[in-house]
Amino acid sequence: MLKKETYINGFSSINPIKDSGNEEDVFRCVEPDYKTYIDTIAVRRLGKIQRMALVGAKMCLENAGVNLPDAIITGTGLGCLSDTEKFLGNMLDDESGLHSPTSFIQSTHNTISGQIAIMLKCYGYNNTYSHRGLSFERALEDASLLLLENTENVMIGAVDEIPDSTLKITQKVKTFYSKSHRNEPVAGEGVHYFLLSNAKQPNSILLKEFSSIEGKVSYEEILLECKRILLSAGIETREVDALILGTNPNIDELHYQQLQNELFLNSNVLQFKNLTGESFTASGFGVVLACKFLLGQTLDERMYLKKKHSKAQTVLIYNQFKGISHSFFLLQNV
Amino acid sequence: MPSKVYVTGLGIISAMGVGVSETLRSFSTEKTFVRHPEILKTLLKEQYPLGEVRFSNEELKSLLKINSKQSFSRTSLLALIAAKEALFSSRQKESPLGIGVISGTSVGGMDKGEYLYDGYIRKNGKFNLHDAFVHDCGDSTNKIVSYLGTQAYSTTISTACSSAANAIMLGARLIKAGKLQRVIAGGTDALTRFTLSGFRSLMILSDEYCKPFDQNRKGLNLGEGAGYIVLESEEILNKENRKPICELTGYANTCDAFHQTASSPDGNGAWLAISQALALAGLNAEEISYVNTHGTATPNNDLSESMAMKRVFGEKMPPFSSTKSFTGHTLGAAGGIEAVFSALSIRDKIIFPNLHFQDKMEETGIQPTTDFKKEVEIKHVLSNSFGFGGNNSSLVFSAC
Repeated sequence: MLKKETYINGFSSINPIKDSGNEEDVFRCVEPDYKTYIDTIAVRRLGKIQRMALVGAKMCLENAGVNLPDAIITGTGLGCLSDTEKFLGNMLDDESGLHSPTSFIQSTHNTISGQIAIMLKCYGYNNTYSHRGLSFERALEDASLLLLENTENVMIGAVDEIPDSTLKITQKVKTFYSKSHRNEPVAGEGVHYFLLSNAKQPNSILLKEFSSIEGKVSYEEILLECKRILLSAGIETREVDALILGTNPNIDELHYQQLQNELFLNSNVLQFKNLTGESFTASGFGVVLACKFLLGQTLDERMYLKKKHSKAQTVLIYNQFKGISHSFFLLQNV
Repeated sequence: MPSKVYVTGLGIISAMGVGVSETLRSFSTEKTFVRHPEILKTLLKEQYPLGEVRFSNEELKSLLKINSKQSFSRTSLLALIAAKEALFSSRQKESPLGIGVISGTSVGGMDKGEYLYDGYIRKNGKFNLHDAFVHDCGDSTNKIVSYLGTQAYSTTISTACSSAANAIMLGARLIKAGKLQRVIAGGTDALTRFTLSGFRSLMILSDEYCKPFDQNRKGLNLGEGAGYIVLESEEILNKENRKPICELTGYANTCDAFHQTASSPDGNGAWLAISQALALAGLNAEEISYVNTHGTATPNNDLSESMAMKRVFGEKMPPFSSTKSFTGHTLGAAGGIEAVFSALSIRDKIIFPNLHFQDKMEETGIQPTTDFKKEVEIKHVLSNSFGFGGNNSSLVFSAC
């Protein structure tokens, strides 16, 4: 969908990665030191996901050197579930009772972008996408359209939380790993923000191409889409220095295996869901990882599936969720 | 020159009935369709009148000829009825394969989610496994895609009460950018105990029929429904020699950035949305023939919205009304339902009345249209949708 260039001029990530092994059956975010970034008294009634998103947005803007973005867009598969669960519980306990409105107010998906706008006093474009495994991708597509329409700085986020009740339900229906269903991905959380711009800066990362496919597709179609993107960017497969895969360690996802074996034998290959878990917006962390790789930052060794060389000019990400939402991102140093 | 974006199809379901024809007949009664609910199983049903669609989920399924054992949230069933009508009324010559689907919803499949949560989490007992897959917002959009057999782009927007307006705006932007030629855009939301209890907790739910823009307004009536419009590029219409209903000339999305649920007293976000939409349409304020307001009838919204309208229109206030006095506030569907009303206003040269209005608001003194006006030349209609999170969006529809 890109014509004008889309640059990533800053990013932030609040994620579940810890220094030592993760034995749990869910990956929950390591919460940041809120008070460094936000007035914790002012936001004391907000839920964890909203507080993390406020910090994530602040960190991202700081990283980009931007005070006020022109637009804020969040992608979230399931929205503000903790507040939803809380209000739902209160309502079901006493349907005809009068409850505190706080958790209802904070239950809507757009609370995240809305609270960031309030914090920043940002009166510009404000949107929220909730489209299952492509929620972050849809936010990104909107952002690239805004850049095309000459909006200068657009902040986008990939935000999902997995509170206890939701975890229990999703495990029961085999969306995520549980003791009785081991062949499913482990549920995870993440809050990742990016400042996109059509103006290049010294540390900009170019989002050269991206695309998404919705629905169950064959490996051949994935392969074709991968080749199409590279062709459209004028990049040979051997020029891809790192291939970042959204592979889940405990399950057999053939598309990932085949793709790396067929096209990218000489590329570094990285994974991340072994440390972050799976979510509707997990691809957001894939983009964070790509940015870190391109900026030459040290990466957690546990993410390397294959380490080939240290060149870091071009990165391709392929992510899929449950075989029905597929996306590619091609990023480069400029 | 970027392509113009035209409206070619309309689809609607609400308390006023199923489809455009029944809805128009309902308008001519000049009576509200809000009443005490019979389908929503709530302990609050004697307390609050609601804009409830008169059909049960099973009846909606049979209207749609769905026999599948799959779980359907009420939100998605409402969406299918309205999206199907929009598609068929647009008289497409090509198959629906290439049509994009952009849908807005606030609570998605919460109607099923409530029972799932109650059954499994609270009582650790029985629940329908399939209901777990229809709770999220994206499910209703996926259902439209598979029911209509579209294969192009689809996406779901969730910005509370402005969801459908933002869906329509995205549809127009994608067409203008040349990414899509045809789009079904709008929104859907079903009544749920969750939202009923939620609005009650905010103390903005009226136990009487709502009175938008009235000095003594007590709050909103919740409603449910779905409204979708078909948007197409100028190029396609010329090629197929089809006539549009009207043109979508303006749109804007801004943020009030004031409070999570309350609007700023000066209506700054609303003013920004209205003025940017007018600017994009290339219109002066006095060229607007009718405003279909957000007009929820809460003390806060109507004050904020009328402050914004005063700022835009000054002393030359165009005719305006809140059709939520007929339908109730249908949340994520409202922008879609009211886009259908705006297009009908242009097509049929009508202005819908604002029911139950008696006394002008002291602060602004503005007077809505209170009778059903016919044979009025309507050139441009402004439709406002303002939501939680300060998400304010305005659309401008114009006669061709």
